[in-house]
Amino acid sequence: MKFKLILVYIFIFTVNMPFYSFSDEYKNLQFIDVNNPFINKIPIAIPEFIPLEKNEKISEIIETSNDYLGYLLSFTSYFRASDSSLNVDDIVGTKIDFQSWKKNGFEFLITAGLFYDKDTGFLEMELRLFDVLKADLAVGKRYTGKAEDFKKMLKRFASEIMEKMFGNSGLFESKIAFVSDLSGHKEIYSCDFDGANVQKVTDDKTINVSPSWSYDNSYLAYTSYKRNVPEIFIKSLTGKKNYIVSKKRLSITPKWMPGKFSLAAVFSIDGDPDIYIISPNGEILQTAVKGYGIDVSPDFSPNGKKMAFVSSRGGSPQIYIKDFSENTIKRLTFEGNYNTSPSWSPKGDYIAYVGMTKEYGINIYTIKPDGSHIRMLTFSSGDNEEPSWSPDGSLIVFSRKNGRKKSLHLMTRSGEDQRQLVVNMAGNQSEPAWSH
Amino acid sequence: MKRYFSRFFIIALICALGLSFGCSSKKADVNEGITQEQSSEEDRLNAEQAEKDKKAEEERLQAEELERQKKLEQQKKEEQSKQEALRKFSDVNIYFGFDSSEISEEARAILEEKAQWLMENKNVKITVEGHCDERGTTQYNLALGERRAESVKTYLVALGVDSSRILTISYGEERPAVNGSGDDAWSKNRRAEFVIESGI
Repeated sequence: MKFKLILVYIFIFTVNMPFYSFSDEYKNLQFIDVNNPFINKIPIAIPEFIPLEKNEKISEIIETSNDYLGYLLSFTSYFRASDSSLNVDDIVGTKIDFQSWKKNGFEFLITAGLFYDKDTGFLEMELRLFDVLKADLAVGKRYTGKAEDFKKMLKRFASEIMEKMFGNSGLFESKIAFVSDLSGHKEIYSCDFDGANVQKVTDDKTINVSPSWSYDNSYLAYTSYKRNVPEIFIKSLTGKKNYIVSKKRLSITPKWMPGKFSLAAVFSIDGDPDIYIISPNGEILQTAVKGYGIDVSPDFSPNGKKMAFVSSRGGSPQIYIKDFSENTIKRLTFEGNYNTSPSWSPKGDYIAYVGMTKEYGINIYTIKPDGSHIRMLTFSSGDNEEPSWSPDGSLIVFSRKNGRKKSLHLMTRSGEDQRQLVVNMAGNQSEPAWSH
Repeated sequence: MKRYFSRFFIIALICALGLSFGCSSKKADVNEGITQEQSSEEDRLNAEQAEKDKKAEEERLQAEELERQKKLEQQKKEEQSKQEALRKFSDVNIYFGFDSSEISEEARAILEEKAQWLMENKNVKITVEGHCDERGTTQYNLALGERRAESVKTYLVALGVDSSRILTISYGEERPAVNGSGDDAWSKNRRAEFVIESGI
């Protein structure tokens, strides 16, 4: 009993300290304060874009595109974007006074020149990212397209910046699938990375849950009661063949394998729910995990060689890792007696999961695949569940239940900048799955 | 003398006549009286008999009616108890502990009754639905609901019910019996429900 208490104490202490750094004793320590969204963010200036030829249309595009680029970069939580009171006269580096930008506290600077051809309706955008401290060009790109596609151009440029600075890309082109009961039935929906452009994927008037994107984002697999029993539906998003995988009793929680046209799924064909590797047409390729009790919620490491899953074999739901090459199963979580929903980060360095404790309720944690570095990312703001990583590994989307309403939220990989996604949607939103 | 005689004769005659008249009339009266007396006695007896018969008939009818009603009542009662048993079978859920698919002591008694009913209603096929409370993930609860439904089935089969008569389905946390959070709602949602598919 004493031993147990000490364990719990240590766990709580290490996990929660960053979030309760209120006492003077902790004030001087370098803990992340979730209440300050600008801490450790890179100050980047986006002064007014420069029209290469003045007309009415161009000034309108300039204002909206300047705002949108600031929105994109701020969205990542890496940057503190500001349009600043300073202006640039020209977009090229030789004409920029980096010292004055540096004095104003900026580390990076974006300049853009826009040219709009009234006759063709085409827009040309020349965008540059400068490293203010080095007084050097970091990224320079020119885009040409229809004027209404200016957001696409800016997303591409923002991706270039992310790639150059952090080696991450793919956030701005990504989508999030999720479940909503907006219509009175649980249906699968999708939206853009930032919650915009919500679209219905299914319209079955039944229970549809647990969406999973194929590695190339061309298929969505999910569990559906469309035929009255829980079965796995595989929907092509490019107009190709759809599949239904159905084994007796239970066919649930599909999860696509990285780089392969096959999935992990849970069937109860041998006594209790176990995890199998299947082809989309339902052929069982391999028994991945079979054991006493429930085995569910598979999630692969980025290279597909390991698979995290939830098992009740130890008496309560805990996360385990199956190593396919060694053919071993190791228990990953030991703290608390209810750990579920493993989600492997795209770089493979962390696994996000959900832990339930009597003291703090249901929260999201991250842990290294070797079981070290447990970190609590959400704290006492309702039930926090179902984490899924952005393809660049910088953000985690999850569901939060506050009162009776469940909605989607977003935070950085270390729990900062928690904010709601898909803000103006009625009903309950859950089980977000970020595309690859 | 002759006059006396004749007078006497006349008187006598008259008397005789009168007498005979009287007699005859009296006799007739008596006769009639007797007949009347006799028939009224018969009537009385008959009536009594009839009354008796009627009563007996009525009693018989009443008894029959009573019997019929009794039977009806019995049938009604049987029907009612059948309906009640049916209702009880489909309305009474069994409940589970948190994260558990174990059949509790209380649930065992209920399942024994259900098994008994299934043995008495041999054509009935049922679906056992496994449900969970809202805590835990959608996915884990789908699996847990399946375990619950299956453990109920296993128990019913152990009590002698043919396994081919029992289907199972998990609804996970998707169809709560009670909305809301808290121990009370949760404990009511961790359940198995019994749905009669056919054979009634």
